[in-house]
Amino acid sequence: MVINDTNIENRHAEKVRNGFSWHRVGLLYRYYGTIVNKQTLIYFIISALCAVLTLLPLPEVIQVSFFTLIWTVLPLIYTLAPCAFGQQTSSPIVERLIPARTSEKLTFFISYLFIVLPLVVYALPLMAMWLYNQIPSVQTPEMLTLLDLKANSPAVLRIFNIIDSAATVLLCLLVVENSRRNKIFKGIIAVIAFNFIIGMLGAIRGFVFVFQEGFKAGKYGIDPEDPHSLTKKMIEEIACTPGYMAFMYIFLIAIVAIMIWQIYITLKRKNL
Amino acid sequence: MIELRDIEFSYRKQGAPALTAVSAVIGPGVHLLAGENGAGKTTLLHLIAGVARPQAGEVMIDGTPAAGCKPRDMGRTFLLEEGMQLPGKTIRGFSRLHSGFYPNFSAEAFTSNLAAFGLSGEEPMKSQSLGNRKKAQLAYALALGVEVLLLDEPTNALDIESKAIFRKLIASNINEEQTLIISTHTVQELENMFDGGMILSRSRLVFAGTEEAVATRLAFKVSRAPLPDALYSEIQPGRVLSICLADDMEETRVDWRLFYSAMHSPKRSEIAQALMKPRHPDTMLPQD
Repeated sequence: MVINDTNIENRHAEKVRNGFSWHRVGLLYRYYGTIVNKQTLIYFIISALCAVLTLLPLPEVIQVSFFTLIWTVLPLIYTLAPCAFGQQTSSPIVERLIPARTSEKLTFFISYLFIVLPLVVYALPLMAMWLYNQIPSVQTPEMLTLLDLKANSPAVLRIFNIIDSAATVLLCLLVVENSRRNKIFKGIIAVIAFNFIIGMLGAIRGFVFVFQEGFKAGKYGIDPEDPHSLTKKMIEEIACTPGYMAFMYIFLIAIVAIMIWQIYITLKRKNL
Repeated sequence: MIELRDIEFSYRKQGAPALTAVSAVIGPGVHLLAGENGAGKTTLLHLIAGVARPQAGEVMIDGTPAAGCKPRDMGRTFLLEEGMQLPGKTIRGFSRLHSGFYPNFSAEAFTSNLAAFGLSGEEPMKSQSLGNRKKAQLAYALALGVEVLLLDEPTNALDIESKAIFRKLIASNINEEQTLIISTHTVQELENMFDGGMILSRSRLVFAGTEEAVATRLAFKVSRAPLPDALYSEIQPGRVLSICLADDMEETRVDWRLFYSAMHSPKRSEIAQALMKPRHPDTMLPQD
């Protein structure tokens, strides 16, 4: 048999470059379009609903309840977002055959989860919070205090929360990508377990603070009549405890770095 | 060109090998991949597609490893598996999601292939019969224009007419530079299409070669009575199918089904010896 397969090989090589390609990242967005479009639409609807609920002129107790609910639900749905990639929309081998670099697949996941989704989830509710402060007719004193607490929390805590969210999202993605069966369930369990561990670390620090400072009325400015007094004091204390925050920062940044590396390894291994 | 160099593969450490000592060189053309259930056909397809890596040995395509993880290497091959589920509601929907990764994909060929099967490509995949889903997937795979196309049981679930159309589509879509490997249990349906074949038996490759290599050494005969010089024969109602040594002037078409059965029979070693004999011993160079 005469073999002359250089032509098609050369044509293919001319058109496909092995280096990192943003075009292929775009193609990955198109490939995962079914999942991405559905999820962004659902998340946008939830986000818009949350924004509308924030701006409704409701009784104070309902406004506060909604506010608490919204800021519990939004971070939760955001951190669970990678579970969408656990849906079985095709045979796993179809995904493994996609001719794209591992770094391109990682770029797709990172850009979607850390740029596209945060905008979809948080942009409208944050805008609604800003608008709430501009519309006196819907304002209630308790809500204003809560908004003030949220808006004026120390930067060190806000950055910590962002890194915490990133670590949770990456853990969820890693579990979903690594699992063969029950991907969504395992992703949910991983998020719950991680939040529990981080929550416990915060709780331990809280207990230490409480036992150090005591519950005495008026001590260190804590007013038992003001329910936010203790919270404010704790936030200040935690944020101003360099040792604790440094430990948590290093801990979370290490988790984020390890997760990104592990996701890269997992995506690379899936092609083999 | 695909080169399989001493491949060893098992799914578990210390487990039974799925493939052992597999070596072959596969050139362009249409090739049969046959073997009993569990012989390692799908594993071999995965290794060639680069979605599995052998524990020992190498799978090379045009001199570079099949499992290269580089877009250029990965884009050379496409594997269509039996019962493969593709994303997208329709095959055209899937094509929009997926074909961008394959620069040689021909939208015209895709439309033409679909039309040949009597499909528009907008039929919802979920509500389609298994046969129609298979037709749509074949129409797409054949239009990808990849160097190496691997089809696992492509004719399963196809009706008689569709099988004939599939044969025509292979002829019109696969050019002389491309390699098409068809793994199938129903060899007769694609008879006369193969330029070569690979036969697996119990994780070992017992034959890999071109049709020409077989046809010049073995003759495939049909007679009423058993032939005394047959290397292997099968008695069927009213006829006997035999494999004999080919005469110098004789060249018959390879009956791949019969050849497969012979390579799985106790006569395998005799046939293998016959295949290794030089065609014209008198033309060989004298040895010192």
